[in-house]
Amino acid sequence: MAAIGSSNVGFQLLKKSGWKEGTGLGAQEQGRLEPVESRVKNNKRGLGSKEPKLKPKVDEDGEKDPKKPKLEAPKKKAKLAAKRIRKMQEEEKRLQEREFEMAFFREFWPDNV
Amino acid sequence: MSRFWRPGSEKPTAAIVEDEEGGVLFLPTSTSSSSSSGFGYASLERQRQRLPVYKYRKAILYLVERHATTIVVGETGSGKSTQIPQYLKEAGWAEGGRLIGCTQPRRLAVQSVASRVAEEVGVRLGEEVGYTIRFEDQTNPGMTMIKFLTDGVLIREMMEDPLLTKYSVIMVDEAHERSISTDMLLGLLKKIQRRRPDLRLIISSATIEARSMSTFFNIRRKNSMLESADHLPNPEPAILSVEGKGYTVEIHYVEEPVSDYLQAAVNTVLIIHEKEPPGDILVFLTGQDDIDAAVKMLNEEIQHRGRHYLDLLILPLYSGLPRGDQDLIFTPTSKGKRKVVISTNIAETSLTLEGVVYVVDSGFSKQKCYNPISDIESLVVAPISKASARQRAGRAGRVRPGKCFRLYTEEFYLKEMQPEGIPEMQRSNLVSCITQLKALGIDNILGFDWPASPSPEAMIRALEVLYSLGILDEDAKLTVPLGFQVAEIPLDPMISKMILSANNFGCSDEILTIAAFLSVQSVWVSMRGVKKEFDEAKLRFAAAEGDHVTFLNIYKGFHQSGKSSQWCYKNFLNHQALKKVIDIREQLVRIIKRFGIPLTSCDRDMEAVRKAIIAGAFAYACHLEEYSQNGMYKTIRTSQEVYIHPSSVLFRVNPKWVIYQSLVSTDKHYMRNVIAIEPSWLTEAAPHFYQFRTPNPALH
Repeated sequence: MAAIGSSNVGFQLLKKSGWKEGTGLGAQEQGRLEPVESRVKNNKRGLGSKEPKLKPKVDEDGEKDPKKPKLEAPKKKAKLAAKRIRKMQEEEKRLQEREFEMAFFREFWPDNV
Repeated sequence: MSRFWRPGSEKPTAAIVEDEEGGVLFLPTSTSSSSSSGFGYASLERQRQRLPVYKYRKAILYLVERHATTIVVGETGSGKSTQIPQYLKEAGWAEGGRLIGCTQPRRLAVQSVASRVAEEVGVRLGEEVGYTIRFEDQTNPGMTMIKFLTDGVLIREMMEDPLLTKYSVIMVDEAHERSISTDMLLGLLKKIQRRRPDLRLIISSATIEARSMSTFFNIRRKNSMLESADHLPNPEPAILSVEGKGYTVEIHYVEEPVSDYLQAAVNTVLIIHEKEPPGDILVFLTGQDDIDAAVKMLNEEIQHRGRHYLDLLILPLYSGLPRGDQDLIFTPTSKGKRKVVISTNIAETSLTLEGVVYVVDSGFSKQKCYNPISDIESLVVAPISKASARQRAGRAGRVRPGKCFRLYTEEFYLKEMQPEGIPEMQRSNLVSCITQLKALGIDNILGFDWPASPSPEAMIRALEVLYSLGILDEDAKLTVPLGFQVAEIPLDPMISKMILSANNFGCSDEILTIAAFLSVQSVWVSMRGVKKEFDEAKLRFAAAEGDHVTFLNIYKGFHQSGKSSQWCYKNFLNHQALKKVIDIREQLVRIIKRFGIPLTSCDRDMEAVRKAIIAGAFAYACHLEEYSQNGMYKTIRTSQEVYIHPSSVLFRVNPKWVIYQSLVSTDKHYMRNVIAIEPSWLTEAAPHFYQFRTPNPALH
């Protein structure tokens, strides 16, 4: 999208106040020139995480870690729980949508639709 | 499962901030052997003296006496928010009817700190110690000595008293949050100090770059040679660093980036409980949705695991939390139990949670972000800054050595993370800000001394909207009487315009009700597990015209029930929120009467109501895209794709033309508080606005 053009009424009002195109705001025109950009995050990926990729299954290090058996159990349980949660959430969402849709159209039909 | 690398400990830095520009530094003296305070209970007094800031009491009072501005840098928990105001009062700064003012960026913090100080002083809140926030005043003129208020309320007070003559000292607390009100306030206080050299300022923060703040407040008086140095404070700011009493916090990073920070946070909590000694856990997530999801996941895990996990108490924490739930968080944890507080960044600095020993840091927070090109303001999940990360870690070292588990790699922290957050001023819609500055007599907004200047595009967009609303004239001055009246109503200028325009449609009674509802975050109580009943309750009030008219139905039902809390409970409505709506409405009625505007009702003519709403919110009109299968709308002004939020009563109804009040961004831009309109009303309401651009064929 292009920047705001000079025909914009706000642009003209700012110029009338003394602003010169290409300069920043503030007593010494020291302000930033560009608006702050933002990117919408629509996932739960952690900081620094890229697109998900399959991790190599083979453990390059042949050593046995005595702590690993301990970590495996909660890890497996956590995965199963996460899967169960996700499934429940999807089912619940489906039910919600169906109920809402039926109930809503049963009672309302606005004139402008 | 992510594993954590232990690089060693990272002790919170604690030292005098070096000032290369000649500011006054003050080394802490040894602990004072006596206390001049005669107030408070013995145990409270001992608690006060154990706070880190106590050692600096004499230094602070000396610097405030000698310097116009004193910058105090100290970690949250050092006691500066509660103790410095008391030191000032004890030293006589509230004598002769003068006031000590203390600002906070957030309402919750104002109430919390004021209550604590009143307790320590041993008085009832609202007497010698009081607070004022928007729509609520707990002070007693003639009695109150210490007054806590939000930055925004103090700015509003300047409209009546431009030089804030009632105040002897003003402490701007939590300045590091750099909210838009904070930055405006700092710029305005700098102006006031030029004309009131006697006014003392204390700028207090946990993380702020003291040097830049010192530079900002360094005022060079033009006629300094003609003035006697003995009678005026030194205009050069002093900097004092309060050493925290925090303990060592061990920082743990993940070895690899996590694929799901929410799941990783839940897993980390479970591992902490399994492996670590007693101590509460504080988890930083982004917002209510994340927090609710984490609470649910943890509660389900607890049910599937052994008895050991029943010792976990899972508590959410976010702004707007009901009072009872807040109290749970601040109640000391029972022996044998472990409290898990899952919070937004409000627990980062504003609130102090005793008992936290472990912190889980997701690395994200929710931030407002405004794009002036598209004129869309949204709440986005964004990475935190290094300063925030340090603050979050510090929460773990309050009572004993703790641990912070960062759900990101150390490499990311060192190489990718920004040192400081972006001030809110540079990522916000400036419409309210400019209205207030104009009302305060600052015509030349170009030359205003901003701690951080906004971009020209944001300024242009704001001026455009204000001109179209009729608030500014062709010389960018406030119009009479509309512009000044809008500035006096403590609401968003678009909503204020809506109220003032309602008189033309004979429906000011209804519009005031709607404005009050828009000022409350939500009147619904979200009840998980009874979704069907909740939806049915919503449908009982739903109006075909949209959310604003639905508010009128709720209001009517509430009154018919005799303002019953049982009725609210049955209908999944928040009783406290509805009482607040009534209170706000009453205040708005008083303001409107002062303007001489009559209170009129249109009875059930909802077309008049909708036209009045358009008079304020015309810039936010959208039309449904033809052939759209998923309810996609486009904004008329900047052609952005937007959707109706599921919480709206118009969700899935998808009228052809709508106006929204605000946007929420997740994966898409969702419209909240949506109302159906006729396109011809737009050109009626705002001919200038829609004629300034190439004609949109859809409008004809």
